[in-house]
This record gives sequence, structure tokens and C-alpha cells, in this order.
Amino acid sequence: MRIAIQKPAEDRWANVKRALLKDVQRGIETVLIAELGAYVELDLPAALQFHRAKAQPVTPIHDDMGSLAYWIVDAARVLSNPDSFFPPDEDRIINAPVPYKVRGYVNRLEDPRDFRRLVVDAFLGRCSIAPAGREVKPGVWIDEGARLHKTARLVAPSYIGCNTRIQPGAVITRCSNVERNCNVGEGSLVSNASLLPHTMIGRGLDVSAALVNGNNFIDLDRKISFRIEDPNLISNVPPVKQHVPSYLPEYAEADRPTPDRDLEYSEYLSRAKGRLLEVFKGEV
Amino acid sequence: MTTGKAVVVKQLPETVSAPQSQAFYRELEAVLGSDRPRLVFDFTGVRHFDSAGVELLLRCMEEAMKRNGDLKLAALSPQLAVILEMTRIDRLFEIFDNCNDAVESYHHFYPEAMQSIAPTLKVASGKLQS
Repeated sequence: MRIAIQKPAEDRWANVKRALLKDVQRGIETVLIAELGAYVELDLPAALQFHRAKAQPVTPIHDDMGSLAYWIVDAARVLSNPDSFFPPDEDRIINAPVPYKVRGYVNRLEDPRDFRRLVVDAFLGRCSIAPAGREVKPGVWIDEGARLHKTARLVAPSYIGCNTRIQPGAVITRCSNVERNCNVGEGSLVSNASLLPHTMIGRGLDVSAALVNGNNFIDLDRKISFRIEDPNLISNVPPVKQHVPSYLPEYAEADRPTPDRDLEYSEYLSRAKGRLLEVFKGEV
Repeated sequence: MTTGKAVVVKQLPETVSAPQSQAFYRELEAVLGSDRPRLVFDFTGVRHFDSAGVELLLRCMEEAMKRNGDLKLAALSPQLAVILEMTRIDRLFEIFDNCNDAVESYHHFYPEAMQSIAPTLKVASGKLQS
């Protein structure tokens, strides 16, 4: 199996054709083309079996609502007549191919509410995504290096990512996920919200029904997005320094972090690898 | 600044950050120092609002309340509404869609408000009669 990612561009289909040509030269017969949009839990062996049984050059992947912009193609057959098959949109292909119907979990990720739904579905086990990190109590996952003040409260289900800090009195609840290198300020409430990596929430704030990516704030109820420039409210967090043991010779005294005397953290270490939800990486 | 029926309507500047907040507060000091100040802040032209603006609102509200007055907010954009909600100060203010409604609210009892206290009034009057 080979995975190639083409960056979105005007001539992306030309790029795909070039990639297919390389695949044919390498002896690869069948290729899955996927536009990175929908999250699809595809039974690939079953889809390939269906494609071979139908003996069609292109098999589009559908769910109940229609095309998911996933196609299984026979590279050599498609390249023999590229004008007919690119883009591989079944509406314009003569003798419209029979689509393969996905029976697994599908989330089209068309707007931020879909992203929140994916998070909730992951927490509730409705899809195959599982939160990374250690499940410290039922429904509460904490990833490596995350630091929580002893007065912070995590209400299940919730997830705290790598190197994230939750300050005194903060509450994380209602299927909220706080991704890596975030900071939730003292007394703040994060409820039914997703904080994407490197997001800082100030003190005493109430972040509900929202998706926050650094300075970008998306209110899911009002369906509005805007940028907040005030670091007292919301901002980007600079990447957290990796912890370097003090006994290493190159670790200068001046660089050694001073302990937080006013905060008492209990640190949780995770055994699991990977991260939850890297899906929504694009611009909001 | 426009006044009508002793209600002062004040339009906030386009940018409400620290320097603008200080200047705005200085302009308002005379009104806030009067007896029972009745104020409406018009957010129509506000494009940028940060934590200094939140401080300004709280300070003005505090001063108005000290003198048995009130401060109401009007014409907030959805973005501003989110910021007030996020900073938990939305529950401290009466918020109106436009300035007229905010000004009128100083002169009228709302039927909803009367309905909410009506059961209490009935009980009180029943006790008085008995």
C-alpha cells in the first residue's frame, strides 16, 4: 500500500493523473482516490471485492446521501482514456458506474458542527476513533505531559491533550476535548467545546458550544466565526518547551524552568501514543 | 450624545480597547456622578472590543448602581454577544436589539415581568384581605 497526498491546487486532477501514471509504472493496478473531506470508515477489502466483481474502471463510494468523493480506480484502464474519467465524477462518465455503498460510520465534516459531532461520536464509541492517552477514570482521558491543578474538574466524557495545562478551578465538561499544548485559565469553563492545539483560554471565561483554534473562535449555536485579538481572552500558546532532565550537561541553569510555586499540579502520564482528532487542520 | 426622557444614550467608539475606554469613561463621569443615572450604550458602530471594554462596562454599571441608576446595552453584534457571554457579564445587563427599545424599557413595565410577579401579588393581597 502506498499513500500519496496531493495538495489542493487548480490542476489537482493533472497531478492525480501523473501520480497514477507512476503507480502504473510501479505495477500498481488499483488505486483509492479520496478527496480529504469526509471522515469515512470504509471496509476497504469489501469495497475492493465489489469493485473487482463489477469489473468497472471506476467505482465511486457513496453513503445514503450520495457521493463521498472517494473512488476506487483501475489505474491502467483509467489512464487509457483519461479525458473520460477525470475528474472521476460518475455523472459525466458514460455508462455510469455502480457505486459502492458504505455501511460504516460517515461524517462529511462539512462545517464545524460536524467536527464537534465527530468528537462526541468518538467519546461515545459511535466511530472507531478512540481518545489517546490514559483513561484516568471512566470517560476521562489525559495524554502525556498534561498538567491539571488539583482543584480543576474534568467531567466525563472529556479529553486533555499532550502538554496541556488546566489551571485551578477550571471545569472541562460535556464531551469537550482540549488538544495538545493548550492552556485553560483559572476558573474557566469549557463545555461542549473543542480547543484545537496551541489555544489559550484566559481566566474566568465561559467557552460553550464552540470550536476554538488559537485566535479563531467559532460559535456553533450562532454559526459565526471571528478572530479575538485580546490575549486576556483567547490567544495562541507558544509551543511548550520539551522537558529536558536537569542532569544533562547542555541544560543551562538559566534555561531551567522555575517551578510554579503558587500552583500545585498532579501530573498524569500516558502510555498510549497518537492523538485524538487531527482531522480539522485547515483554516477555520 | 442624545438625551430623551432623562435617559442618556451614548454611542461607543468603533474600537473599545484600553485607551478608548479611559477616554470614554472620562466623558461619562459627569453623567455617572448624577443622581439615578439612566444610561444606554449603543454598540452599533463597534468593530473591536476586548477585555478593556468588558472592564469599562463593569465599571460603568458599578457606578450607575451605586447611585440607584442602571446601564442597558443595545444593538450588539453577534460577535459582541459571544464575548459578553464568554466573559459571563451578559447576565448582568439588560440587552436590547436597538436603542429605542432600550430607552423605552426605562419607562414601561414589561407584561412578562408583571406576569412573573403576579402570583406573589395575589398571595399578598389575599393575606391582606383575610
